[in-house]
Amino acid sequence: MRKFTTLIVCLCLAVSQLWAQNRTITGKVTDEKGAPLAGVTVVTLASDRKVLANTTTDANGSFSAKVTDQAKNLQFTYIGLDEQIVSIVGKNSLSVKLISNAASLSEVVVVGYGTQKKKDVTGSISSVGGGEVAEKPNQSFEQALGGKAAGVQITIPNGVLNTPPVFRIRGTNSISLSSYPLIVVDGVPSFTGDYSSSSAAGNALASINPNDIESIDIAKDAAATAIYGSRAANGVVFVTTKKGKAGKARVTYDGWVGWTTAYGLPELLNTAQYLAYKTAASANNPSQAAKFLPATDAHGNTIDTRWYDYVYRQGYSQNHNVNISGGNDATSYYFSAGYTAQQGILKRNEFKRINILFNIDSKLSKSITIGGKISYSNELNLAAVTSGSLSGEAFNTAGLGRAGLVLPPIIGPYNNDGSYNINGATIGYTNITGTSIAYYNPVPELDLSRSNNEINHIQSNVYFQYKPFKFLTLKSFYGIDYLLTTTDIFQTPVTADGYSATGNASDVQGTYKTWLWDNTVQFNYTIAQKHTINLVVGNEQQRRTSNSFGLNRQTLSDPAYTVIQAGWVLNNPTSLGLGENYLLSNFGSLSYNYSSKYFLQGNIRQDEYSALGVKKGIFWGASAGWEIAKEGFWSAAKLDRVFSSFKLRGSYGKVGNITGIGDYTPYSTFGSGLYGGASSLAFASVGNNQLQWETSTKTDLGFSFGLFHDKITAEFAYYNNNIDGLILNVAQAPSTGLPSSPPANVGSMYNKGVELTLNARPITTKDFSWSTSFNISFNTNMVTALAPGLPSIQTSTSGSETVNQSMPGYSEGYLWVIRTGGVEPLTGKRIFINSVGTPVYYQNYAPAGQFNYSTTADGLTKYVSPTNATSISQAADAVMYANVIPKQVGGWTNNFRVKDFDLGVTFTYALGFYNYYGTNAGLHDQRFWNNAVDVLTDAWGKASDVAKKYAKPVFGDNVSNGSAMPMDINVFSGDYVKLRNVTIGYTFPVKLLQKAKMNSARFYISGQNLAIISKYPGPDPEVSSNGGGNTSQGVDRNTIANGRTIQVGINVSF
Amino acid sequence: MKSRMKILIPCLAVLLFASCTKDYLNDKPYTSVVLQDAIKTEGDLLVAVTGMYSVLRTTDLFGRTLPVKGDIMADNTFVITANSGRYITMNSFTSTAVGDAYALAVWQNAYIGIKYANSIIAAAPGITATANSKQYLGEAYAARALLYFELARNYGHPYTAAPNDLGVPLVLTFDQNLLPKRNTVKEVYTQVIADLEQAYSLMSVYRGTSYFSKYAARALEARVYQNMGDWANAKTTALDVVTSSGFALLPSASYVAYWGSPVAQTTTKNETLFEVESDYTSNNGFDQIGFIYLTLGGGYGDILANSDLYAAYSATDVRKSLMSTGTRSGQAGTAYFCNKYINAASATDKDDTKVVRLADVMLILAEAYYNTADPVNANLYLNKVATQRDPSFTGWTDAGAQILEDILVERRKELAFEGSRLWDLVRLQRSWTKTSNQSPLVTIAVTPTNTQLILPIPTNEINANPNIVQNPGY
Repeated sequence: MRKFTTLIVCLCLAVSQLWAQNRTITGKVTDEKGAPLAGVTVVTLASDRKVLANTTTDANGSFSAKVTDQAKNLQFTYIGLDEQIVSIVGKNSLSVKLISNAASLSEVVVVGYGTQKKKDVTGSISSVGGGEVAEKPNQSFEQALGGKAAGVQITIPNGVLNTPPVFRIRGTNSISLSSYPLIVVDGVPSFTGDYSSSSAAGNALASINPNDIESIDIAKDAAATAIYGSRAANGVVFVTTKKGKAGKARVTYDGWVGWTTAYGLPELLNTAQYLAYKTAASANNPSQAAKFLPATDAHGNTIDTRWYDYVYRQGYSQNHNVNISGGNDATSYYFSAGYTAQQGILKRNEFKRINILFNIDSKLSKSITIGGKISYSNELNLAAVTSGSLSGEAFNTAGLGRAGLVLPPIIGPYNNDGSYNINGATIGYTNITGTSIAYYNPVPELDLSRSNNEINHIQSNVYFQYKPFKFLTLKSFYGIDYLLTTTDIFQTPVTADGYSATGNASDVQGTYKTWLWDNTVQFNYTIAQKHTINLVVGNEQQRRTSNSFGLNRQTLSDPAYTVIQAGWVLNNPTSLGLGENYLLSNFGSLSYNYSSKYFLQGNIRQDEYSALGVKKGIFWGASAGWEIAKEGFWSAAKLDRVFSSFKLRGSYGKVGNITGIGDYTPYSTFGSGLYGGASSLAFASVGNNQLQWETSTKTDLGFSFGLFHDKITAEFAYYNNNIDGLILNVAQAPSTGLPSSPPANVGSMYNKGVELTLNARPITTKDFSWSTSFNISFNTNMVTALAPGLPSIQTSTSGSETVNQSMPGYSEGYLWVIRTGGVEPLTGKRIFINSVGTPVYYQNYAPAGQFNYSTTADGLTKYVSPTNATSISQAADAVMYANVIPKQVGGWTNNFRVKDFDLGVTFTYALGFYNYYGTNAGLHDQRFWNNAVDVLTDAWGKASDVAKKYAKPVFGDNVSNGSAMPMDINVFSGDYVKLRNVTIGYTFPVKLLQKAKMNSARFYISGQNLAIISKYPGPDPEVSSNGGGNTSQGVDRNTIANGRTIQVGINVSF
Repeated sequence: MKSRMKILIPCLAVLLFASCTKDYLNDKPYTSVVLQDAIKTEGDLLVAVTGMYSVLRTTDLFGRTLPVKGDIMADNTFVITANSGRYITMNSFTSTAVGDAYALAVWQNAYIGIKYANSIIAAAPGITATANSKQYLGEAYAARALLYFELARNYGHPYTAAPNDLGVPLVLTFDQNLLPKRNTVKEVYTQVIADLEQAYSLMSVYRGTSYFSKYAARALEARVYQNMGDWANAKTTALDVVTSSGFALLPSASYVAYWGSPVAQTTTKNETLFEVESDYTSNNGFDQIGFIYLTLGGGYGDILANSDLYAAYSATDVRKSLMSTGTRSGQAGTAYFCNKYINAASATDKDDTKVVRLADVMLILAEAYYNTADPVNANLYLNKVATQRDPSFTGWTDAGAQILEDILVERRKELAFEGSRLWDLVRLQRSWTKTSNQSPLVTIAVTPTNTQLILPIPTNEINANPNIVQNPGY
């Protein structure tokens, strides 16, 4: 390259000597930061723009061009930077600064089908740099977004690796559809959610290596999101991967290793405590003859099993990335390869990913650019059996989290001869009589079973761009997203879930494909250097197909086989699915600004979607902004001495939500059935040919300002998001003959709130700097209407327990529990409060002449409810009790630098919400279940015990402490502040590195989830048994907490 | 500049009018059939009609509830003390609008069946008319008539007493957003007769007893006229069945075996004109009719017969063998069991539910003759049944109004446990004593004005459909 440059320069010199009458123009080209740019094309143009000659800049950014009298201008071009044409009339030397046009720089945000200068944005967009999500012990980038941007709530619902986080922008925006934002990766909407059908989670977004991300732009209001029309209601997240930067090839390596441990596990009874407590409880229940005896192991020691030790472990993880980027004036590239292998805190839970990414952009000629991307990722999501933590698993008998809590310490995993302690499907319990244990021994399951998933994910695109005039760009873009998922489940015939079927294996293959083709025309013109107009019009079509099929095989003929391919007797098809949808759109975006002072923007999109009854809809958003600091009166009032900028903005618009809707909602369909041995049609599903998207009307008002040369910047926003036409299944008149309720656009709710972001750089010196960023979002969610005949929606946790009820006048998923009045001091009975506020005393064992439910503490007066029931029930007596959606969320990040050392500290928090800690009910359940140690101090024991939390222990009692019915005593404030991340780094001095031929090197040590400030009694107030479910948040039932990770890493570049 | 425009214009054209595949917007599911596309050929018609029959088999239509209700609310059966909670409201005449699961299930399933029939009838004009396609279409008309007939008499006052009172909404085309008003009883019966006439004229193929046939529709029509008290038409239609259908009563020696066999007839024409089929793979499981009468094979055994029903049969009456005596745990006194449905626990086939039988038609004919002043023929057809069942019986020889009483006795004996008795009492506006329990004895005096004699309109319908008026008394 350098030789070539030299050659050109020599040639130029040679030419100049031939025509001595010509002059030489010299100069230097730099980037906006003043760094010299090598390889810039310098073209000599005549007055009619005819190309006369060209040259390039050298390594120092210098150029020298021999020009004739004909030459009037020099044109400077460089990929990724704005072209400049400079007049040379009367000049002999030039200094040119080229400004970046790439999305990668912080001054620009991605807005969908293009980019916009940040200072011109009038919509509500938050940007997070790729560096914020890289180098973290996460599986996917969005896990690290928590607390990084106002209005963005990320919660990681459990400690199973690669669980999709709950991702909410400005609250929960739907009931039956998804509230997950649209994630647009390099122009292609990505699959989101869990694509594993095994017990190991498989987040589709984990295919994007967080290290490859350049920027994440989060569009929140109608103006910013409307360009994505019917999919915009939950916000749109633009993920841009890294692209090459011109210059010498640069090689970077990042690597880290980490160790993850479980923390905050509830302390349980040991063998001595368990024996004493359960024996006492048993004595309190003469109707049950349960008996507990100690047992000895092979060495003659009393068995005292800490089941946590068999379920949890310290996970070891490693991560390596190498990337090479570079380019010249015409072509730039970025290539990266990554490998990560992470172990979870649960035994056998692992995540492994191999991925490559290749981005290339090439300028074929002055007006034509082509480029593209190839990304391939292979992920293994591994587990032995269910964790009991993913959505739908909370009450799984095999759940590992539950096994650690529920199993008695007086039995062990092995018999004294070394064999597994099992009793058919369940664990063996010869030293416990008079009751039975239906739970499994987790050890043989962990040894012999597996529940694995593999994802192969290809995300690629190619584009062709033609720029016939400086102000006009035509672009055609085609992208694909192919996600192939394979699930491999084997349940051992030895014990547990596979026992009754003598072994069980399932393999499921799923293929999920997207292709997308969009074509845009962009017109960009400035008139009289004041009126800037930017117009984008385009069309897009997106096709998605899904196809899945699987085989389930049962009854293993020979225990030697462990794969689905051999050794089975029974075969059943499973997971059969076939679906398609198509989205056809036209869109336009017009923005105008006057002297960068007044801004107007409008976006409009028409979507036609195959999966709806009413297919076509128009969505729009409009916004306006006013940069007051540019007004004359502002400086006249000397406000400019304080405010470096002050901008007002507002937006309004209407967008839609179709995420998560079925592919064929308009259609009522027939499946197949039998009558008298003849095949028949059977009504399968009920559609609605009038169904359309949920509509979200968003209002956004805000201002932002900078103080003292932007040393302090602040952004404030108020938003009001009204959602109408929520899709709910509404019972029709039975006389219509429908077997089930069709979906209809009926409900409504709103989210409104304010967001505040403060950034400051209080100290910036050569040796010490401190920058800080704080954000807080206040959100109010309210369901305002459901449907006629549908007064409330109850949502169960894993089909077993219903704690959430959504109804008008309350926020979504409100906790719906039975009130209690403590424990009666004389008898230790649980006091329930019934629907009309009357105390009702409960005893699990009622002696002759007494009742289980009584209106007197002595148990002698039978309880009869206003509706003639003789017991307390959730349906009759539960009340709307507490909200589960946080009222405030946010984060606080601090970065310090002292000479070569840096320190980063990130807190995230969520306040003003409650969790139902269902695990606590289990921890105080008076069946054989092991209990938390607080039963020794907090449970009623004798007649003088006042103000005890838990009832008198009566063996078999699953009512008093909440297992049978959800009660208020297990509802706790979930407010937390988490020390999410602390990183200490050391950057090696440049002098030292030059000897090692390195550009830069940094070593760091980092801790994740180091501390929680919370009154929540469970290990982690962030968890949720129901994953991202809209109406079932705030339930913690046997859920594995997030682990705590310590990692050390290094990044070097050459 | 010019050359650039030459490239630019086609480029713009391509970009803005890039080919799209509009057909994709009409994507339809692969793994199920869209309603509108489901019935397009004769083959589709057959499959759809077959699906319609499985709706008739639903527990709360002919699978169990309708045949049980017709006996339990009359004077034939009762629910024992130790029961599983089923049919309590019918046994004690304590149905309430809110929470009557039977009122909802009968209503809902009947309308589901009607929707099938409507879909078939709506699709028929597009299908080439052949003997088979006309047969299937006729079956749909017959099924729709059957369901509207049951709805009319279960939710509306008897035609013979108040034909202009509210019946049920007539929904004849599928529209899931419909909020129909209730039609009068008379309007519903008019529709039922029209459908049955259509069915009669369309059908010509005999597919066995588990499908409607020409004469099954005719027999049903006779029953409808009987319930209307239109004796001229009842006579014409019943006589048509008796003389032209080719169906015959079985000799008494074969009668018990006939009830004991769960197999539907495919070519023979004995006794049954139409029955709803259950077989080993498709049945109502524990909700089969047999399990509500017997504990055999895990049944509920909740319902026993009244002793006077058992006593009504003479010792030589073959029908007495379809009952048995014994004891039932959880119930004091002698237990009288129904043995018409004994195959619920069978490992090969399950009991079908007989909907229309020739004996019923003959008794309708006898009653029609009685009411059209032809006592000779009345006794003739009455005795065709009576003497067939009891070989020792020489026949009824009464005159005058007693003939009707004889017919009613014979109907009670012949059609016991088939859901018929209640309607005889209701259409004739009789009063009776309903035994809610035999030991200790609990009885209810039922008069024609008892509001429990018709079901409440389900609250789901009332909540979703503001055009619906509730029945009096609920």
